[in-house]
Amino acid sequence: MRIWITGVGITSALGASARETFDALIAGKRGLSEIDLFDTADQRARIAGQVRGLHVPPGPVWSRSSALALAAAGEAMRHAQLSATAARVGLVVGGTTAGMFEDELRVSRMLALREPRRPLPEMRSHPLSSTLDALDGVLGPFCRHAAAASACSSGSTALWTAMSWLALDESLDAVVAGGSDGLCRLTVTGFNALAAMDPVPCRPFDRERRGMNLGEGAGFVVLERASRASARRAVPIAELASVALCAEAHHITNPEPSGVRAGTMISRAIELAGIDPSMVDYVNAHGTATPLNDVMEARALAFALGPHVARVPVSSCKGQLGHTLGAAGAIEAVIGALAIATGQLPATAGLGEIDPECSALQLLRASQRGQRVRAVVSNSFGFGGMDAAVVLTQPELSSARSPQRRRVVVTGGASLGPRGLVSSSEAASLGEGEVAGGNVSDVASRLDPARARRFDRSAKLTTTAAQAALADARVVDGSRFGAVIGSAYGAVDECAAFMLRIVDKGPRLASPAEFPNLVPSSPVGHASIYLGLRGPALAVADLQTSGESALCVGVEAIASGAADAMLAGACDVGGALVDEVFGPLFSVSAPSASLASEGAALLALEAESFAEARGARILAVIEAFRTARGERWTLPDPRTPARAKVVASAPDLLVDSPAWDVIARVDPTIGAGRHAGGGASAAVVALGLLASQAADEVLLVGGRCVGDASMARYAFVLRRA
Amino acid sequence: MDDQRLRAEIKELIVKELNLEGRDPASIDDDAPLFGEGLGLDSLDALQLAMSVEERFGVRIPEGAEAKPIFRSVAALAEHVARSKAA
Repeated sequence: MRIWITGVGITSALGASARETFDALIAGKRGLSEIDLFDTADQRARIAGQVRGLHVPPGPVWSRSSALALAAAGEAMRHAQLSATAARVGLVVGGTTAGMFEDELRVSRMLALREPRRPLPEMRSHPLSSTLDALDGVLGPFCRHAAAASACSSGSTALWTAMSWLALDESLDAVVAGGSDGLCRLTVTGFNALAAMDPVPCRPFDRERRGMNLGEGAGFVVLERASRASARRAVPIAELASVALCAEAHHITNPEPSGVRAGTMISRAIELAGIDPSMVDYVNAHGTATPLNDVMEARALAFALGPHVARVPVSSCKGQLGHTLGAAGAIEAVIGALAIATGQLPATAGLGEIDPECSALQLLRASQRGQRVRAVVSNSFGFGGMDAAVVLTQPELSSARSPQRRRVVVTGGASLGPRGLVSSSEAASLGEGEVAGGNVSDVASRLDPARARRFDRSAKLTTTAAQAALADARVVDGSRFGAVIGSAYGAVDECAAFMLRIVDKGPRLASPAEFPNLVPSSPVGHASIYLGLRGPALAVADLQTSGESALCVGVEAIASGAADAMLAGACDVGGALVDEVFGPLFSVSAPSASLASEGAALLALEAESFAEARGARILAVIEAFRTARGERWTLPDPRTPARAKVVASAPDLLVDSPAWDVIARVDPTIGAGRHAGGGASAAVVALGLLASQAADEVLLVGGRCVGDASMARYAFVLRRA
Repeated sequence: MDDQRLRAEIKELIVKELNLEGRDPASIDDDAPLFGEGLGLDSLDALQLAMSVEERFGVRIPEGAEAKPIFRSVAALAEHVARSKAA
């Protein structure tokens, strides 16, 4: 299977289209200027790649981030001549801030009770998933949605997610995938607090570099199977040959200094692309211009490219666009695709004298034209050590590989909730007895306080449950595991507290240690560091089906060969804003899913071959999985109805399958409580029913309303091994 | 504020701000290195500590290389705070 990029779009400080942005990059223009979107008094650094003249559509679902995404995704779809009404098209959006700019002052006032806490319609643009809903209304309807977050590599992670969809679902015609992030006070203040910003235009790989500049923007691509694209006579811009992800499992803000972990991942991306380093003709570096990043990246590239590092031109676009955070990986993938298509390579703006520690790299000082560009590597590295490498090639450069489809098994699981920590052998009991609710009482008692000292409540819950899931799966060395964690709203109460401090005490007293905990992927980042997980790591957000969405990502990553083993689940914690504002705001159309407690739950998922090779105890096989948005679905019938059970995270949800609608139901909320990520607790209960032999087969089903009539639904059929 | 009290206050600030749960502030040696070996703190702790010192004592810690000697130990940090407040 080959995946072609048939449309591209960028909105950035340098232009309102991919072409405009790319031409400005080649011309050496720099889009950095004084921020005037909000007051930057008392900030150390006050310049950024701000997008001027952006039109934000009126209405409660629109944020600046979503408006940027609309412009770039719309451009990519027009470019590809793709219509979501005439084809089955999926949408993946990577990001970190979503509606933060619109809401950050309001949530801080609400937290301090300077404004009443109430669910205002305009706050619907706050969660990461709001961009999906906003775009769906204009460019859709899209048959699948996913919001992917891995901090500053989110844009690349979105492409990774899209690749697994196309590999596994033949009925999917195309995926629109990319990343988007708007500027906001929170990120400008946070990176300033980390002393990671240069007050003057940044200087990637330069000896005197002092840090980065922020930027804002969006980048999107249209991805299609080559067979389908050529059948409709679409023209490929480039091929998306591979995306590799890894967690460094090192430190929440600092990169692993040897560059070996990132370098190994880049090597893997090159190998997955079916090429070798001799065919790489350009590297678009992450190149943030922070002292630690650029040295690590130079070492990683030397490791991955070997002797070819002396030949391959490298540049960073951060000195022209600023660091666009969750959009960067996607914007840079588009730049890589255009480099292949046009033979032009941008230079590294701001580079004066090369840092001797980066001297192995062939850094471009002037843009190039007329080059033969066969393959491009584009790197992104995020907080928590969440790394991504994207490989783009000329169409048909490598020999096409047939997509593999691997069986996915479940080897363990754990749920942490109002009844404490429960592993698979006792999890069936969560569907029985007295209804439990409230918060988790013994948070973190199972964690080493010294190693968990930077954890917020979400990280503590996530890591405790992840540790128990690994133990349940009898995993001694977690380094081959990745992790995907869903959360409906992210760290919204913590973001409000961070902003309140800035409002009350000024930006100089913003907390550097708290800032990295505010990105949606922070809990999974902390868990990966604590537990040494080095596979793909990311967060997802899908309101009340965040748990199901994470399970889907985990299952598909393994089934498509993008990961060998994943911990997959969700974590939600209570808080004033979650309980009183965001829970009620998004529960209007799904009252059964209102937030009444908190919890974390995860399954240990593995490729069957991987589990067998390590001699694992296989508790269940994922027999089938489905996801649908407003469409009908067909599920395989239960084999022996008397030995089957249905576990639904929303107890009143109809399965929409006559054979399953008559099967006995187990209500996981009895013992696991009700919270947005309840789908993950439901999955652990489903596993418990199989592990305790209370059932031979379980349908795990979750869903939520996405409009007046349509539903976003997920279903997994688990069978006893 | 006398020297001993200032040092004790800084030790309490370190334990609280850097979440060194279970660590008795009094057990921190006045002259032991704060970063790397010693307390095992890192660059993110240095930033957090600099911010907390500014909040508590109204004293700014310079950025980059100039901060290094100030953060050498509790004693060095106390001396910087005392000197800056007197100035």
